[in-house]
Amino acid sequence: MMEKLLADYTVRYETMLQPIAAMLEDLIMDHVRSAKRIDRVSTRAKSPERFVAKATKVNDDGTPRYPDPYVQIQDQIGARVTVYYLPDVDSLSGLLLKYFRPIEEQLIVPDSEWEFGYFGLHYVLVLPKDVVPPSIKLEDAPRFFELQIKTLFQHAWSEANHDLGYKPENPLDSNQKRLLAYTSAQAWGADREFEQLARELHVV
Amino acid sequence: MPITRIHSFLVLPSRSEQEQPEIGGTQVARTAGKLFGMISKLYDNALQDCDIDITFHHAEDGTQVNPCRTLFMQYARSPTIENGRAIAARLQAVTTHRSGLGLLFVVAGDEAAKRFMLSRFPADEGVVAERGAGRQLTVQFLEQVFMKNAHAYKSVVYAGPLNQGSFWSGKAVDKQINSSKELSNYWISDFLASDLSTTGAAGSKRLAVALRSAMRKADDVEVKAELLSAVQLVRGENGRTTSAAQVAERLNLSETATDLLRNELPRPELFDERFRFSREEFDQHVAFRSVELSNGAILTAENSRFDEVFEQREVADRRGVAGTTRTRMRFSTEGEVVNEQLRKTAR
Repeated sequence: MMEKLLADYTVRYETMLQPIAAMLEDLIMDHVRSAKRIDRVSTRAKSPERFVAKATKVNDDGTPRYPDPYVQIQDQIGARVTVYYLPDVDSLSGLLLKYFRPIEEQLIVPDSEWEFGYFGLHYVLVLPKDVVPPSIKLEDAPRFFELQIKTLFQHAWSEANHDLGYKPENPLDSNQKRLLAYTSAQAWGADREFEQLARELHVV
Repeated sequence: MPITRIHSFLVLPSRSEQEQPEIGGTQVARTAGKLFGMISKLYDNALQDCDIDITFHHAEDGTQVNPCRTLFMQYARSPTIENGRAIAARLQAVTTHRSGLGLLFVVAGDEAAKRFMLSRFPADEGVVAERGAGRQLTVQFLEQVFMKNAHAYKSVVYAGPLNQGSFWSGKAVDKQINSSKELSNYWISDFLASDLSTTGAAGSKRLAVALRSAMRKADDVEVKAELLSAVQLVRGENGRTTSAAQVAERLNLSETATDLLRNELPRPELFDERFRFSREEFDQHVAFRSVELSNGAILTAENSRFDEVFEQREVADRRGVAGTTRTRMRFSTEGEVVNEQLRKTAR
C-alpha cells in the first residue's frame, strides 16, 4: 500500500508538481517585482518521502488522518518569500493577497510567551490555473498551495531547525532543545532590533 | 440515479429581521414527475451551466472554517429536511425585499464523488385559466408563481469528497440579473460567504499581459490597431465582473484578434474565467508612456519597453551644458514602419 502510494506520488511529483512549482515561482516573482527588500522567492514540490510520511499518519484511534491524501494534504506545493525586516512581512502579504485567494491565514508563534521556537506567517492559497501547464488536467492538479512569508532571521532559524531538529534516528536531548529555543530567541530579538533601526532610519 | 435527495423551501425576504419567519419545506419525491425531471436536468448540467469559479472565505481568525460550507457539507453528508432547512434559514437571513420571495431547491447527489447543488427561483406573478364544462372558463390571478421562466435562477454546485480539503471552491451562476454587483453582494458574498476564485488584480493583470502580447504578435496592422483600441476601451469596465471572452465579445473583436488574445492566456480555460476588472491594475501592465519634446515631437511606446525602444542621451543645449535644469535629450530608435496615421489632435 505504502509502496504504491510512493510510486504514484513519485510520478505525480515528477510530471506535475515540479513543473507547477517552477511556474508558481515565476508567477510570484513577477507579482513581487516592484516590492522592496525581498531576499528570495522559492517554491518546492513536497518530496515523495515526506508526502508518504505525512499521508500515512494515523489518528489516536488508528484511523488514517488523511484518507484522501491528494485532496487533504494542501502543501504538496510550497512557496516561501523571504523579506528583510518584520514590517516587510505585512506589506508583502498585502501585495500577494491582491493576487491570490486565501482559505487559511495563520501567524504561527510558540504557544506560550515563555517559549521560543517557530515563527512565521503561513497561508493556504488557491492555486491559480495560470501555473498548471496546459498538458495537465486541472482536476488532477492540487487545488491549493502553502505560502510562507518570513524574515531573513525566521528563514535562517527554520532551515537550521529543520536540518537539526527533526532527526528521528537522533532525537534531541533537553539541552539541545533549549539551545534551539535560545537561537530562536536570538533570531526573534535580531528581527526586532533591525525593525527598530529600519524605522529610525526611515527605511520602512 | 445520481440524485439522492431533493428538498424545497420557501424563502422569505427577512434580512435584518430579528425574528426570522418559519420556513416551510418539503421533499421533492421522484414521483413528482415533471418537477423532479426539471431539477434533475439542472443538476445534470450544473457543472457546465455554473460558470463562475468561487471560493469560500476563511474564518475571521484565519482558520479553514466557513459556516456556509459547513452547512453544505452537512447536507451532502446527511440530506435531511432539517439540514436543508438550515441552509434555507441562512439564505432567508440575507434576502432583501429587493431580491424578494424565492423557492429554494437543495439537491444532494452521489457521483464519483459527492455533489451538492442549490438553485433559487424568484417568485413571479401569473394568471391561471381553467376551462370548465361547456363554455365556462375560470381565470385566477396567482402571486406566488415560481419557475415561470425556468431560465431565470441562481445556482451553485460543489463536488468532491467530504473532507477538509474539498468543497472549498464551487461554481455559481446568476441568470436573474444584469448587474454584476448584485451577483457579488447577495448571492456570492452575503449568502455563500465566498468570493470569485480569481482576484480582480490577478484577472486584470492576466488580461493586460495577454492583450500586450497579442498586440506584439499581431502581424496585421488592423488587428494590432483593434487590440490597441481594446486596451483603451476595456478600461471602461472598471469594477465590473467580466472575463477575456466577455471583453472580446463586448468590444466586438474580430475572430483573428480574439484568437490571438485567447492564445496568449496561459491556459484555454482562462479565457472564460471571471474576475472583477481593476483599471488601476490593468494600467500598470499595459500602460503606454508618451514623451513630448520642445520641438513638437511626441514619442509613444509601451511603458515597460519604452527605455528599450528609445535610446536616450543627454546633449548639451544651446544655453549651457548637459545637466542644467532644462536638459536637452536626444531620443533615437530604429525599426520598420508598420503603420502611419494622421490625427486631428496630438493625442
